[in-house]
Amino acid sequence: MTQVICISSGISSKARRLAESVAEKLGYPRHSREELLEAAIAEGIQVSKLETATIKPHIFNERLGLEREYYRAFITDYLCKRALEGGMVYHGRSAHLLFPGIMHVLKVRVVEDESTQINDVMQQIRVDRTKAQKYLLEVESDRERWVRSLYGVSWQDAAYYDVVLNLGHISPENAAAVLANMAQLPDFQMTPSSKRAMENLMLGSKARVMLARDERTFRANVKVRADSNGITVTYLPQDAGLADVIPEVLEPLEGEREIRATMATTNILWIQEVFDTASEAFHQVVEIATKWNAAVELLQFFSENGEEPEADFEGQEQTLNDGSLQASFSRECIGGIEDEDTQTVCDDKGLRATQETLARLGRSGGGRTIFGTGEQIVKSIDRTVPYSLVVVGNICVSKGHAARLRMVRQLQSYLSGRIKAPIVSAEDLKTQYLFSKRDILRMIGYLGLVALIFVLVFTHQTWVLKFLSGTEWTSKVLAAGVVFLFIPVIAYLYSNVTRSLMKLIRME
Amino acid sequence: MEEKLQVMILDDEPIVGKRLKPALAKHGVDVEVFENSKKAVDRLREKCFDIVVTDFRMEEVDGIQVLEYIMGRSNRTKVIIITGYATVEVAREALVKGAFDVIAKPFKPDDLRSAINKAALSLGHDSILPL
Repeated sequence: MTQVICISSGISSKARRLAESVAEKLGYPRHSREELLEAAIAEGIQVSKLETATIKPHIFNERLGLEREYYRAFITDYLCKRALEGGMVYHGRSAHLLFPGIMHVLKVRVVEDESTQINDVMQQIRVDRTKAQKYLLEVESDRERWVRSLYGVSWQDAAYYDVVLNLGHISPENAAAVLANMAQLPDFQMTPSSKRAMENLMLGSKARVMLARDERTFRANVKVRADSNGITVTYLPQDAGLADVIPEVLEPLEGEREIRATMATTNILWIQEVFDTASEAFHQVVEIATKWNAAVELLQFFSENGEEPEADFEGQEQTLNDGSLQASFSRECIGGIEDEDTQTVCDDKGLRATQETLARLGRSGGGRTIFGTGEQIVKSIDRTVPYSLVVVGNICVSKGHAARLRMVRQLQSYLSGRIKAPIVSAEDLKTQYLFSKRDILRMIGYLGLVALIFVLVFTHQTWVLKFLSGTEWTSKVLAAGVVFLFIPVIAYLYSNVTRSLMKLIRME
Repeated sequence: MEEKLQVMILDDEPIVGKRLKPALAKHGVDVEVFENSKKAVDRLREKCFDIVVTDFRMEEVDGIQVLEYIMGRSNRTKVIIITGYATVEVAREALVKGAFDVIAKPFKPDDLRSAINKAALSLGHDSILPL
């Protein structure tokens, strides 16, 4: 029998003893978070920066977003390999989330009362009670942020655990006996199906690690999934040039599965002059991107008719991914110190900050700057990219409101005939794609009217039938006229209800 | 005229001091570099530095011990920990014990300069960075 027991805990010396004891009882090797960290650091992953970014979120950038993916794939591959070798016990911070979708993994959460934890901290790091309390509080909230950043769920959510053990009431040895027995249940035995799922998980992770290791693909924001049909790598439109490179990089895996590289199908192009992560438009675009699981590509547009941009931008297209960010993507550093930035810092009007915030949210689809007219935008767009939505935000910001509005409308109209995607202005975004309080009122109103008509029709069936089945010529004309008017009215009311409902259930 | 900012850099990798010293000296900072933490602690007994930049993981005396030593003598000295092995637990331990900042490796000289500048300002020194 092969079992995998993952024990997740906060600061707890007893949890470590529990993991050791379970491993001993089952005769399995015990792996720990410390071991994973050492292996990841030896691999060259910037774990230290990832961890520090939990405390200082402002240092998180697109590069760290990729490093996070690399780290997650690396540890998944590392642990799957060991789990498939014949069972294991793992103890660490987010142990219960390390094998997503693998049914036979026994996921355990260990808790202890606060005073025991404080005493543990006081002993471990040699500080007084007040400092230990502060440390504990801060580490707990860091852990919550870390788990959310890596797996998108709350560490506290009991739904992700099979069992919770309070080591304040049960000794680690007795708790280990409980877990060793529990692990014998049929639910926690590796089946051919769960083994296959774990092999797929490992293969997908291995492929992601290979892409992160290769100089040609390490900058690409890709998602990898392996199943019985093959390995699918989904890349963003900005990385379209990698379509041929990806199969080359993954060639060593070709014997195992077929390799497919496909471009992500849902992307939002956001055209604007000044980007601001605090703006309403930003939150709306992110909300839609999250609903659609889309990447947001930023296109900073300086219209010929607007304010002249800084000299650096003039007359050219600048790609943030390939240009200014490239220096920060360099892997070369000596003694843990990277080279000095040689480029001068210029006001990019929020482009980089917005792109990095999107990266932090896992929604970055790249960014570039264009100076000129709508024609330059169209020329710069890759025709193979399947955009789902184009948002035209503020442009010509130096001009008055009326002029800005006119420019947005003109650009919208120009693009609508040339890009095969809905083109909306940032102002219309909410009304067209997001569910607001106004939609609730509208839906209730229309639903009320539809219900009223239905009730009236079905409670007055005799009268309705009599009216429709009149034999006189005038009655027939009248009935036909009423039906002719009634159908579009009910259709209009009903379509409004369903449109709001679809918006509500996020199917627009 | 205000005295120059006194900074100690302690890292067992010689290349760190070699790269950071000129990066700080060009901003008018007096920098002493140490590779051996015991020797650095000896020097700390003799001289009160404004800022100590220390690696976390070192042989014999580690960065946390250096921090504890400094905080035990005077909390005027600002300690900045640089490390390639930071976990949130390590970083929080350093901060709760009085570290001014924790910077994860790899970092850019600008990141360190910015942290040193903040520390200098908190000590009442002038900014070391050009306005």
